[in-house]
Amino acid sequence: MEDSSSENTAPKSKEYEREPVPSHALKGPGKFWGMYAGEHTAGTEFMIGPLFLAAGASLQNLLVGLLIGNLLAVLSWRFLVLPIAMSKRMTLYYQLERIAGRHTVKIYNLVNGLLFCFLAGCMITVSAAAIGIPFGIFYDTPEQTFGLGAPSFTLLVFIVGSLMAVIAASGYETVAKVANIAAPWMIGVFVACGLVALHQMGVTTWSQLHEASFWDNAVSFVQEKNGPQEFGIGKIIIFSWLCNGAMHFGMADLSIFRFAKNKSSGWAPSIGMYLGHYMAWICAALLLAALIQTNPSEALNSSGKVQADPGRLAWFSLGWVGIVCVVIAGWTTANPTVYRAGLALQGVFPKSKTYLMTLLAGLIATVAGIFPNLSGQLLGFVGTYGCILGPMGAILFVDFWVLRQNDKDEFAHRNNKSFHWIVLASWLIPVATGLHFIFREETFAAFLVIPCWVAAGLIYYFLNKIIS
Amino acid sequence: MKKILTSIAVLGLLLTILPAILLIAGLIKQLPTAHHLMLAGMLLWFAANIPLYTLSRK
Repeated sequence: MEDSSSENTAPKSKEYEREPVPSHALKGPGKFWGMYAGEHTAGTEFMIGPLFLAAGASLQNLLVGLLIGNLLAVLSWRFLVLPIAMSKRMTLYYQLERIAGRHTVKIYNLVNGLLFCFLAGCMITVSAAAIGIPFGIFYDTPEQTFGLGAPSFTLLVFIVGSLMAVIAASGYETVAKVANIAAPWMIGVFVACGLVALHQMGVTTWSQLHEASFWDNAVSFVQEKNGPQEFGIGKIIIFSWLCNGAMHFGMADLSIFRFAKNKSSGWAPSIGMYLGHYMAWICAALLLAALIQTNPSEALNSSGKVQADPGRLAWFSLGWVGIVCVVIAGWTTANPTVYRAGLALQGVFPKSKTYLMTLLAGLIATVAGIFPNLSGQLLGFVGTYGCILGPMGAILFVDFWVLRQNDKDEFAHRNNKSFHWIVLASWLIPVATGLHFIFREETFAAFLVIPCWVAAGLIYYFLNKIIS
Repeated sequence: MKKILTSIAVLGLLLTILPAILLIAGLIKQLPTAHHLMLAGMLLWFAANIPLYTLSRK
């Protein structure tokens, strides 16, 4: 999962937010490889990895499914995002504004900002859970989605969230520095997590690893406590492919790849996928398997169900290093996300002050973080996130590859309009349908990213054809 | 100066990962020993990288 810190790590000297990036500002592939490696080995990985095991995925399915899903994600970046990014060399927001008009983009910004707040909220919960361990304050997921944890935990989340909001509002450069410095070390810690977890489970030979009985036992324990669940290879492939759907299908990474000097930069996400969304997820999942085997009572919440608490998992395997890593990972993910959410909200209220909007975003994120169950539903959340933001990428895709051929692209720019109802309808109709399926029919959110994307593209194409 | 700091940083990273490998290999018997080494690795990594980062920005 992306940590939204691209702004601090993206190659930049000048932002070129409202103009194509000039040739002298283009960057070689090295910058992109470094950026993606750091960006996708983030706090969310500590949460997502254990959730696979908690959802009942088998180790074999996880190893194969993540391999395929991440490959598809890399191909999506390379063949969906890069060609448009290198051709137009503009940010997603500016391209959208030229197509949809600034008022339509405001709606997109508001939705984007709120989703960022929820993502930051999950990371505030994770950081608070890790900070609470030395003080005996524990993360506990209640039964209800909007149920509160212990009062001491709620207070801790409030303190951590407020601190993060204030730091983000005062500019996040220090946090960006910490993130850049910590990134290679965090990758090392993820490797150590996996190895120590294997040691704790007594897995020291290839045959024991191949047999994977330690994993199957852990899954059985989870099924016994949480009830039967299934997370097959199809779900794993689709999830790992589309958990960053907003970045590739949704074209958010146009803002990054507009700086690409050559096409080989389009392969850079592979390092993020295979370090962060393969190695790190599996290593983090092993932490939960190890805790279940060595100390099963510690893996349960007060209702007797297995919960994925990254702080506690890291503490039992790596001690203080684990705690520090989870706190840094959570903090360096939450802070730029709060900052970005603030910028998105400022896009809605252009006359407002950036720091006030960042504080507001931090407040919303803190409120979201107070509900521990929200972070426990991160698998569903990132799918929903892709389902909501992804379809806007289809509109951009059709505008670039189809409408441009007939000089009918960039409607708002050509006609000097600030609102384009066709874009809004093409985006909202599939998203509303998708949300209906997610919340009413309980469809796995990631399954809906591609149908919503295709539907948005088709609606946009046909509405344009009919109207013109 | 830069070389010394880089060496310390590499040592820090090694101390983060190596104890875990030695645990698996059975060369370190106690988990707390590995934890102490990893903690030392973390301190070395950050102690070396903060001035390194500042130097690279200048």
